[in-house]
Amino acid sequence: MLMLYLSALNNETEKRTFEYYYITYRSHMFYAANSVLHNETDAEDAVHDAFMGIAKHIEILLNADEDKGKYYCIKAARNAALNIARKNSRTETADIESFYSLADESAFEDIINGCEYEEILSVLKSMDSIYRDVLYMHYVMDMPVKKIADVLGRTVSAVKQQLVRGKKILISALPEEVTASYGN
Amino acid sequence: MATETLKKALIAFAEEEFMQADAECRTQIWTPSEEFSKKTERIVKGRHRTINAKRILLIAAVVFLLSATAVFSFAQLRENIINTFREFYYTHFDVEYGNNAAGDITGDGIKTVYTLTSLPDGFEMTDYSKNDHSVTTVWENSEGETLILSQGDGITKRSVDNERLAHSTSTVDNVEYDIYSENGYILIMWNTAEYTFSLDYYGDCTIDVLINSIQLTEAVQ
Repeated sequence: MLMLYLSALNNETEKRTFEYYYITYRSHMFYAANSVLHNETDAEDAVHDAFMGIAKHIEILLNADEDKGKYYCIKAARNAALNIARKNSRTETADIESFYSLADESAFEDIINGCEYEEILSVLKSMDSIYRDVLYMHYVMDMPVKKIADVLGRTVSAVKQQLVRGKKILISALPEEVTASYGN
Repeated sequence: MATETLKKALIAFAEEEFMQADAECRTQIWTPSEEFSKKTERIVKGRHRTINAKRILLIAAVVFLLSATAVFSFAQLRENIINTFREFYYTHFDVEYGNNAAGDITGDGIKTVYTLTSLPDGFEMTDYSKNDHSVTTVWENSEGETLILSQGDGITKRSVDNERLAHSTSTVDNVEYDIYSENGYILIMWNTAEYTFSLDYYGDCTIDVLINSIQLTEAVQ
């Protein structure tokens, strides 16, 4: 409900937390959004949209240390910018794609656990930020799919698919000997 | 359980992204537009929507009903209001209500939960939250009009936008109300001996109609 974050921000602690991130990182969020949109007015709209999503789930910032919180804010802003960019271009980018359904989470983790840190980092760098940000929110911020969808302004089904797609991209880009038994 | 290596890599990449934005902040100066500042600060103050409608809302009269055990006098209310102070910030000030003679931030807890005795046609409860020291109830109608009743014990602090909201007071049935309003929004705050209350209203009802229709009754738990 729209009023959920409104009533949440009536709590003084939550309000002060929100204000802190707003004042401290709004410029960073603006530049992150502007790097996508190259338009200051649209970038401001993106930052505002991001803060709307952040306020709706302010508990995420309450439960995060500042480093995780600021990265989360940047990603929220950039994804809001991507949403605006898609709307402006009037073309739908393929963020809902066909995908292999992953057999189970434990199989994915078994494979990832067998990889080197640098291998994973390299794959993340080449990955589209749409998937990378969903992976970050899910694995680092421990956010359920519904909350990720709310913050990023996407549907639940889109986030689910992006999460699966992100994991598939990771698996596909890793050395064959590591992933040989996966995806069957 | 998520793999620690993946988390570590995701955090490292997130840090790199942040540093790019941080570098921009150090070399350029972004001055938020006035529209952006006002829009975003509405989120903080819980005023996320813009009321566009120009309709007159008639709110059914409700009568203020106190708990049988709550005894208060106008003098005590006046003392509470006098204890109110305002911390000014650049676009708003904080208003603090409550009996802070003991300097306590929170009181003894919410023992009796209150709700509006009757609601205008079409309003339905859409949200409810409660903890030991505060209760918030939200009602909405299909036209986007909203009522939010907040009840707290001890000291309750609200941020009030002093750039746009007009302040007035009104006394009804020996209850003194502090009112902050602008076109499309009214905030009313008042005390009883035990609790502080605020009523946020988004819509086109007038202050007089709203203030004379506040009636509380004990909520069914």
